[in-house]
Amino acid sequence: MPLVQTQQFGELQYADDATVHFPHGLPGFELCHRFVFIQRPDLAPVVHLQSLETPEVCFPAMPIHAIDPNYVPVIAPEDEVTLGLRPSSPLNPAPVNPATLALALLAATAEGELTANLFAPIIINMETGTAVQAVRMDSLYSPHYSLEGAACS
Amino acid sequence: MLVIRRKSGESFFIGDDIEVEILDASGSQVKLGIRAPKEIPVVRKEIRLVSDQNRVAARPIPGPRLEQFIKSLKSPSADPIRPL
Repeated sequence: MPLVQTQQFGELQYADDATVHFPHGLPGFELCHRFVFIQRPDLAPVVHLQSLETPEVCFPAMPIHAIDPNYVPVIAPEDEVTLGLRPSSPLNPAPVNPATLALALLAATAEGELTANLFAPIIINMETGTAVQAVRMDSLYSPHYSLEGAACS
Repeated sequence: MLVIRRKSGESFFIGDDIEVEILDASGSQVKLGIRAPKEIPVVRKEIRLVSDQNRVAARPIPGPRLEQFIKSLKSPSADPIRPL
């Protein structure tokens, strides 16, 4: 099994099928294309997306529907192409693909408040391991959604 | 903020090297063409916002703070990786 050096978790082994590929990187991290999921039972439902190229780049994340069960993802046509998804129609702007996973990146403010980025979720095609950060064109959701007092299911 | 009115096909300059042309304006959308030197990044505002937020997200959350949050969840899922 290949090894990855991480800043937070030390050296870890990972399976090739646990990797995720961002063809275009993420905004601000355009050179980070390959990530691996780090799932620790004691941290569930939080997972970590660890860069395979840059040890210090590691994003905490959690399933977006655990934060907002009614969340409606919107995936731009160009992101659908990147993900290899069937293009949606105007009548079906939010395709629910059973092989698709949506994660929200978590962050801590300087004051220690935990927030989730619901404005730009990570969308992963679990069949292919391809992922994008799908930036919304609307302003329905915040990039700084507060998790303080959030009731997660 | 400087406000100027332009029609489709018209353009304006920012400094000597950056030209912004109105390619199409219909409904609530405007299509712009931007000619700028390669070294000048042109980024949609929402991408800049996400970029800034990603840099914050890449900073480790202090372990105790993360554990406190996880404990506060009423019924944490045993399997976080599940389809939509």
